[in-house]
Amino acid sequence: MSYILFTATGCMRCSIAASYMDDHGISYDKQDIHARGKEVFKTFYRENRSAIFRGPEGVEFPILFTGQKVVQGVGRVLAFLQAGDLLDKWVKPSLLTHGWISGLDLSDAALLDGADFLAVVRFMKKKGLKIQLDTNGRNPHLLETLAAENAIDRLIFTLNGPGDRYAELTGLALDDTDLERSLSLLNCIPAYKIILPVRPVAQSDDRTVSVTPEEAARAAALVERATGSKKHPFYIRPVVPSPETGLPALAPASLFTYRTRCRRYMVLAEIFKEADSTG
Amino acid sequence: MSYPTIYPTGTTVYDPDKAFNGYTVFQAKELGALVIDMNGGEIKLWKGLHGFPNKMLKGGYVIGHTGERSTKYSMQDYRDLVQVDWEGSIVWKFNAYEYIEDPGEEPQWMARAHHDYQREGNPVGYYVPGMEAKTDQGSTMILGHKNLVCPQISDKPLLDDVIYETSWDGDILWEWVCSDHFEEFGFREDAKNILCRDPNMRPCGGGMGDWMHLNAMSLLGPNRWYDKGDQRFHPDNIIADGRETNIIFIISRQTGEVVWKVGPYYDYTPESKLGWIIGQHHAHMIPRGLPGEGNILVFDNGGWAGYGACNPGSPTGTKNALRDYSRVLEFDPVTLKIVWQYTPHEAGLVHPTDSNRFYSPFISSAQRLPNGNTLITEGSGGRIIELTAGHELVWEYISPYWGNHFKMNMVYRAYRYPYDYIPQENPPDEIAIAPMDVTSFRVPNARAKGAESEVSVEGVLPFQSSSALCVVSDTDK
Repeated sequence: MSYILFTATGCMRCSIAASYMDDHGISYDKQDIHARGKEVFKTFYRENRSAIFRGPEGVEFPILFTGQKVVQGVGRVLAFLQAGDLLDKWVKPSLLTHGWISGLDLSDAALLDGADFLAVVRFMKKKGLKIQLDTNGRNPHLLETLAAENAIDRLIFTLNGPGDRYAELTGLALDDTDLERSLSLLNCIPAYKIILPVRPVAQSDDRTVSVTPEEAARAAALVERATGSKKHPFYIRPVVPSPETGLPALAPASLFTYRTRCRRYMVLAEIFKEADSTG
Repeated sequence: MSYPTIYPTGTTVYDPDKAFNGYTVFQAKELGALVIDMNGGEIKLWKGLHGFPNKMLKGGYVIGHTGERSTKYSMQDYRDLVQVDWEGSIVWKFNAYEYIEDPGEEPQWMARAHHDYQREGNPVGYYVPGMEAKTDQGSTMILGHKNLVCPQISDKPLLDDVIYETSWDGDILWEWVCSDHFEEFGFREDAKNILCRDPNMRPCGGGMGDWMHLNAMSLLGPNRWYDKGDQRFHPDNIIADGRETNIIFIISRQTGEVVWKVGPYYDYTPESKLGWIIGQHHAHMIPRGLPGEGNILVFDNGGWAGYGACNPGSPTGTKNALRDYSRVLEFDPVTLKIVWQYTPHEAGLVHPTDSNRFYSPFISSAQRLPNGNTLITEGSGGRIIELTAGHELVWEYISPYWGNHFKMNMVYRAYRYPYDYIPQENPPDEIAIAPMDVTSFRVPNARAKGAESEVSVEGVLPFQSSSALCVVSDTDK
C-alpha cells in the first residue's frame, strides 16, 4: 500500500507521524503542503473535502491518505498505523494544540489488551507531546500503566455517576472496584479534573435528570473513599440538551443543590463554566 | 478639619417627642454587639460577637459572626453568619460556602461573609412595619467573597464579590458572581486600563484585587415601580453598591444581569443630577410601608474611590474621584431626582469651608424610620444621628468604644428597632437631652468664657454679613 503523508512546514505533529513511519519501515510519500506538495494537496482537498476535519485552528495536520481512507491528526494516524481501525473508539481527533494532544479516551469500552493503545501514547509522549487522557473510570489497568510511566500530563475524569448508574448512563456497566481503581490514580497524576455531567432526561419513574443530587453526592463520596482526600477539582457540568429533544436546559439554580451535596465529600466542588474547559 | 481632643460620648442629644424611640444595635469596636436605649443605656452586650453588621430579629435575636478569617490571607472574610438568642446561644449558623485552608490555621468551612446579608421576610434588615424577618426558618442572602482570576478585568488575582442565598438548612440556592458581569457596568477605557494594572490590590494573601468592593446588598421588595410594570424593579431583584467603583446597581434575580445602575460616571445625564457619588455605602430601596418607599437611600461618603483618568489627587487614576465631605441622598430611581438629602448645607455647616464636619470617608449608613426620620451612621467618627425630614437633629450618640488594635471608635452601621423587638426587656425611660450650649460648656478647671476687660475701638466698622474668605463659600451669596 502506498501512503501519502500531508504535512505542514514546521509542524511538530507531522514530524512525529513521519518519525513513526520511518521507525516502523512504512514507506510513504511526504507532501509538504506549503512546499512541493501544495498542488497535490489542493487536488486531494477538493476530492476529499467532506472527510477532512477542521479543528478550532483550521485543518489539523498531519493527514494520512491511503488512497481510500483519510486519517487525520497525529493520534489518529499513529493509531491507524499501529492497529488499523481497532483503536477508533479510543483515539479520537485532538482538540488541543500547542504541544498538547487530546482525544485519547478510555471511556468507551473495555480495552482488554491495550498494548496498541499504550504504544501510541508512549510514542507521542516520547516525542515530546503533552498527553491529555480522558476516562470515565473504565480500563483502570491502562491508566495504572500510563500513570506509573508518568505518561499522563492531564487527566479529564468524567464521572458519570456512582458505579451503579453507569450501565444506564453509559450503556455499559462499570464495576465499582474498577471505578475506584481508576479514581485512586488521581493522586499520582500531575493535573486532572473530575467532571460530573448532569443532563435533563425525558421523565420516567419520576426521574427528570440523568443524575440526582443525591447520586452526585454518592459519586463524590466514592472519589473521597478512593483517594482518601476531599480536595479534588470536581466540577458539576450541566449538559445542554439538543433542541430536538424538546427538553429544557437545567435551571442554573438547581445546580447549587448538586454543589452543596457534593461539597460534603468534595469540598472544592464547583459548577462548571466554559472557562473551566481549557487546561 | 480639626477635631477636639475632648468631647462627650454616649447620647448627646435626644428629643423623645420627635425621635423614633427604640433600641439601637451596633458593633462596638472590638467589644461585641451592643444594644443601647435612646439615652445611651447599654441594654445588652453580646460580648465578642462580631458584626459586619449586627442586625436584630424580633424576639431578642441578634445576627453576627463568630470571627474573622486571618487577615494575613484575606480581608473582611467573616467565617460564618450566626443568629444568637437573648441568652447568647447560637440558634442558627451558616458557614458552608467555601472550604478554606490557610497556612497554620485549622481547615474550615467559611461563609466569607462581609458587609451585608438579608434574612427572608424583610428586604433590608431594618424595621419595616409588617415585614418581619423570619426567625426560625427562611433563606438568607449573603454578600460574600470569592478569589478568582478574571482576565477581562486584570491578570492579577481578584478578591471578587459574590451574592448567594442559603436555605435555613445550609443549602446554597442561588449565587451571583460580580466579575461575570464586568462588561455590564459600563467602564470607560481609562478605567479599564487602570483596573487592569491595579484592581485595588490589597497585600493580604500575597496580593489580591478588591476591585469592586460591594458593601451593601438588599432586596427591593414590593414597590410602586414594579406595580406600574417596570420589570427592572421586580421585588426579588437585588440592589448592591460598589465602593471602589462608585456604582449602585440592581441585578435581576432571574438572569443575574445588571438591569439598572447609576455610576460609575456622573458627568452626563441623567446621573449628573445626583452629583458625583463617591465611595458610597448602604445603597438600598426604601421598603414599602416607610416614608419615601421606592426611593433609593444612600450614604454618599465622598473620600476617595473610582477608576479613571489621572488627576492631581490621583496620579495613577486609582481612586480618582475625591471629595472631603459626605452626603445622604434619597432619590427617585427612575428620574434620578433627589427628593431628600442631608449634606453639610442641611447640617447647617458653611460650605465648603466647614463641610468636612459631616464626613465619613468609609463605612456608614442611612435607615429610614417609620415616622419619616432618618437614622444616619456617620461611621468613621462613631457618630449616630437621627434627623427629622426637616433636618432637625433629634438624637445623637457618639460611640465610647475605641479599638485597641484599630484606634478608632468607628461604627460600621447602626440599626434602630422598636422596643417590641426585645420582649425580654421592659421599655426604658425616655429622658430628653437638650443640646448643650458648647459655647459655655467647660471641662473642670477651665475658665468660663467672657473677657475680663473689654474696650471699644473708635472708628471700626461692623463685621460683614458675608465672608469673602480665601475660598468662595455659600456665605458669598
